[in-house]
Amino acid sequence: MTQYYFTFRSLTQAQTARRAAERRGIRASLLRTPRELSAQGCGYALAVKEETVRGAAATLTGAGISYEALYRVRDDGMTEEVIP
Amino acid sequence: MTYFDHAATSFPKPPEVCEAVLRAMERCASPGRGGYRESLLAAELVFDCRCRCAELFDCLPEQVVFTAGATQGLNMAIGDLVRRGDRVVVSGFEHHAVMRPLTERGAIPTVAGTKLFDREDTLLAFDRAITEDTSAVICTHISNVFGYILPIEEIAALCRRRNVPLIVDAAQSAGILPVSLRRLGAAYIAAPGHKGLLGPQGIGILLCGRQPKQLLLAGGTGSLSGSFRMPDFLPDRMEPGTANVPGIAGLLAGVELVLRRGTDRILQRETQILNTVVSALRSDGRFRCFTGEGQAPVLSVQPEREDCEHAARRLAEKQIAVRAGLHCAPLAHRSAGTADRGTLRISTSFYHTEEDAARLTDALIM
Repeated sequence: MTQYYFTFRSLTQAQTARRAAERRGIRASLLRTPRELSAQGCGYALAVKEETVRGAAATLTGAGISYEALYRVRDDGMTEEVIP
Repeated sequence: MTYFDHAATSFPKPPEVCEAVLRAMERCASPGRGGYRESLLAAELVFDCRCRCAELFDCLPEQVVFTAGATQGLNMAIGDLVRRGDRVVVSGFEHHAVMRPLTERGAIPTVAGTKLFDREDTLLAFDRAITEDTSAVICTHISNVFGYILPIEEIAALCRRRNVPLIVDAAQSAGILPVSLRRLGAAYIAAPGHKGLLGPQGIGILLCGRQPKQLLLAGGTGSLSGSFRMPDFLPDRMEPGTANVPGIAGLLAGVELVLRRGTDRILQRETQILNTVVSALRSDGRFRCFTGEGQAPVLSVQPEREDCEHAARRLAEKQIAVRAGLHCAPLAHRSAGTADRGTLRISTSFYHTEEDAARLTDALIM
């Protein structure tokens, strides 16, 4: 199952983003950013399903919540940065 | 024990607060460190507390920085804004948590407003004292000695007009009066978690209206770990080290109680009890009571024929708790003319009853 990871520079930002997404009915899981996606080390990410990624991106943008990057993570572990 | 020293710390803590602290110690690890359940639970709890504080103090969650208490918060704020030789303006009622860091830093304070319960005079004094050379204004919201509520909204407006950063000491007002970071436009507002917010000792909040440049502490934040510099965003920039998760849990429970009750109702109830005490002491005629318009539920009295420390000791022997002396605020006593004898301080809480008030005054008067 392909998932999308929004990465954040701080835990608080990730949590703020999750609350904003949940208020819009978008399920998002909070997790540690995979090391390969975290240039500066030690971050948190929100994982959302493919069908909700556009809505999540729009929600974050609308709420003024900035994220570092958005990645597509496939089942086989391949990741690529995407622009929503 | 009949406890009338809530200006020092709220006691006993509400059961909800005690339970929250214990639950946190049993279930929560450290936030922002791991991805396992116990770390994420801790993170959720800390974020919940940030959000509830943001709701109470009208700011964004990331503007809520957890500290060890108001003293640490004030040191952080003063450390960011004040250098050696800087001219600052303070009220005549500041606590040592403000005056000592200013002294140790070699700042030059101008004391504005020394007339007790005279809001108009206080505001005029601040207006006169703030000049082009003023680096910061630091002002208490409520005097911890006399309960004088300073005109903080008007002082904040003055500071905004003059483009001077304001630091507010909300040690006695948090949880009792409305305090809005957004409306005041303050650079910083410092509050303890253990007085009006009913949490345990060892936790406080610093509301940040600005990005701090100078830091008091630096260390690990669980973010941007590849860098040797502190993050340049809040709250991480001001929160190095391990979070006081049990303290934050207790604070969350306390803040939720305050939000449920509402500061209007809290102030009204506490003031009612204080008025009962004042009325009894005035009827007796042997106590000088420092009261005035717009007073918070903190009262200083001077027994006419008894040393205040002796009176406090006498009450303690009857299991009644009050505080005596200078209350870590000699400047306030200097302003009010009570430095030589000090005062006996009585501070009420939402939980007090009329019977508690009667027990206190009966013991004092006898």
